[in-house]
Amino acid sequence: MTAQTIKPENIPVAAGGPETKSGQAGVVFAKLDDVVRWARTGSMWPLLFGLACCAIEMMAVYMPRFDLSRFGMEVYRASPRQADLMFVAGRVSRKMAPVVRQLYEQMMEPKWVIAMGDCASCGGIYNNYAILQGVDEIIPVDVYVAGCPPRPEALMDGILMLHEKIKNGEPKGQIRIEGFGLRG
Amino acid sequence: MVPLETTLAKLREQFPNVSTDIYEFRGETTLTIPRESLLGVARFLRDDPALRFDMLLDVTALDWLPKEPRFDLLYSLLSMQQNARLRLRVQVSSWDTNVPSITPIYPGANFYEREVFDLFGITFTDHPFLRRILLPDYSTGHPLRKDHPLGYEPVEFTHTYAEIQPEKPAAVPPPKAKELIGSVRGSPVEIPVGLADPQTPWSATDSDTLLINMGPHHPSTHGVLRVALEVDGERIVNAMPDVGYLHTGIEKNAEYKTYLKAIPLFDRMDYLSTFFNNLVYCLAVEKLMQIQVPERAQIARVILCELQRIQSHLIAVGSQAMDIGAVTVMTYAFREREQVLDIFEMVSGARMMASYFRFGGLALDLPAGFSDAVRAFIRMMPPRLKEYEDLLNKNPIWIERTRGIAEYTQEQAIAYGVTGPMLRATGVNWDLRKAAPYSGYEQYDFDVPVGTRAKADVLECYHIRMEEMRQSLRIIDQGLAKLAQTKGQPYVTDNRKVAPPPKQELQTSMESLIHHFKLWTEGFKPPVGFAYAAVESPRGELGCLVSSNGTNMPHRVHFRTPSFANLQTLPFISKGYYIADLVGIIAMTDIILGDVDR
Repeated sequence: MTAQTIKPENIPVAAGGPETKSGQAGVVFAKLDDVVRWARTGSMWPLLFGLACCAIEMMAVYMPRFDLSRFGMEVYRASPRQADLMFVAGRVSRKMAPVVRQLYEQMMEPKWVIAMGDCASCGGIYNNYAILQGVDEIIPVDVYVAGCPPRPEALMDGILMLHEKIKNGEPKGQIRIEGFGLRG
Repeated sequence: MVPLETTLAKLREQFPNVSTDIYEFRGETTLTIPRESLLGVARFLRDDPALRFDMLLDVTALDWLPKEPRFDLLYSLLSMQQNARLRLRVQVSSWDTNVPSITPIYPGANFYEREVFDLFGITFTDHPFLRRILLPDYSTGHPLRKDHPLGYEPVEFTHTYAEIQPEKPAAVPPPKAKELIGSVRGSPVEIPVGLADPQTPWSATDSDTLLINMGPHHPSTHGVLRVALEVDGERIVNAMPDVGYLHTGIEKNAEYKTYLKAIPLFDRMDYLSTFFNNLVYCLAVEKLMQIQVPERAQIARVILCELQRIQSHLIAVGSQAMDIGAVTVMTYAFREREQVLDIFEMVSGARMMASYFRFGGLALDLPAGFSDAVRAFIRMMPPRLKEYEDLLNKNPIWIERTRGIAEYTQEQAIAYGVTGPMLRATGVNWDLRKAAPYSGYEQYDFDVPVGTRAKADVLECYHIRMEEMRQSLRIIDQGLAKLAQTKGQPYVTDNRKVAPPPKQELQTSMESLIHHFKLWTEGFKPPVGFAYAAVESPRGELGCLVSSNGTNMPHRVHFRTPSFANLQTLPFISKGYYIADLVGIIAMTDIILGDVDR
């Protein structure tokens, strides 16, 4: 007997009739990893956390016009203990950097980070004494979203890209230069 | 209005040893006084019944390295009674940087003096709490001094970390967040905020109060504000804001750009009123260079700024309602905000960071269809405003949680340099659009809503903001009519020293080509001196001081931001209320942390 491997996205959607509920829809075999990854993308809880201008666009994303809840992402959590995705929305100053790092460390595994905007990705137009040149100096980043600030569509594209990464089981992001951002 | 000569004569009568060194430039008066007589002169200017310079707007410094005395310390005073401004200058040499603190006379100088101490290293004696305010306590140096480097990181064009890493400084461990709790021993008016004094651990507080840290990560602080709360049960005994978590070094960065290239830096300062940031900087440079702005550009500036005011107030009201629990208003407000952003995008290509204003006018002419889009918006808006009021005005929870909360008086507001809706809620009729019109505001017919009660509170500020949105709609309506009359007129000055020639001229005129080349490569060089311009932003008086040393890059750009002054009121307006009210109170001050920290 050979087990048939089905990728989660190929799982046939049952019609929802009574036979589904009685277990007549048949049996689906899949790797547990695939199913778990697929489930994770459907219920991400982002951390309710904004820094600067990008935070306003981040708010716009879950407001009526752009409606992030289409992707199962509207439950923003104020506590890092309940969140598994961090949007770094805005420039990270050297005073804020230890706080961001601590928030990241307080989040439960598995956790992901999206650097939203140019400042969080690389420092943007502020290359000076006060601003971290990219938040990846202190925490690993999975997806970088360009723009100053990125349009809401760009952020949604970044989120979907992260979903793809998770579904495909790609490796997580890395810290660019360990500890460099915290030199004070 | 008292003539300047009378003021000076009075001053000389009182203080015979005060020098008569008066610097007049672009209609602004700067009076140089020795530091010993600073407090006396300030007290006299404040208390004299004819003068009444009762508001200190700004304290800042200029660094004239290598000249001596090296620093110019500038105090901007405003008399609302006589609608006059006066600037006091105290010269400070590099070997003696002690200046008496002006906080006994103007308590609102507290944050400003800490900022000057932090960024310039000028020490204020007898200041109640002289600690760094914007930079972390462990940082070294004073970044706005001219001998302090910009501190940037070189951009490396390599993918091999081993090549870059040896040049990097050694890593230091991050400071523990526990150390970031503020010290609370001190009188309630002054604001002791900063890193904890290791000599006074928590257990040393002998009262029943408890220390709570709120922020910088908190959903209701409107950004990265940190408040150290001292509470007695649920009641707030003291709330001490700690800012600087979004300090961006914008003013330092601007000194390394040409005048034109610095414009995009300032959009991101107060990110809900980006047009105002551009406008005030352009006005200051135009004042310095004495550039005339064509009428069409002025009308476009007014329309866009008023749209921005509506957009900003929408978020202010919406987020305040959300903080108190009425989430629906927030989603409605964002619905309307998107429509404003569509107009901005139509004009400039960007939703938020437009960078659309240039010296002497606009970057481009307004696009076709602009008037129709704006007209559709202002037609749609009044019923929507009524919709918010239907949700809030008769809502018993909303009224219960806003009426009588955070009461403050007119005297308190003036003493702390509060401007904008927060000042007008106390009954002061002070709006720069009326008091010192810019961009042709004197031609528009609108009212300034003013609070009617003896004391302002959260509810009063909300009413003022709602009414201001209606008045903005009136201004936009009149602006559209004017705009139609100026169709086809120039949108930017024809002064080729500051504004580039039209592209088609480059094909035919050698002179235009030279102007174009010079402007984009070198920029222009304003005369030596400094000029201050101010606009009425949604949060209050947004001022910009541009100082030129004759080169193509600003010697110093300083912003007098309304949020910075308004935030200082937090300790005394929140005193005695519940912790749950604090989020509503912070929302009332309508601070933008980018505006506070810059």
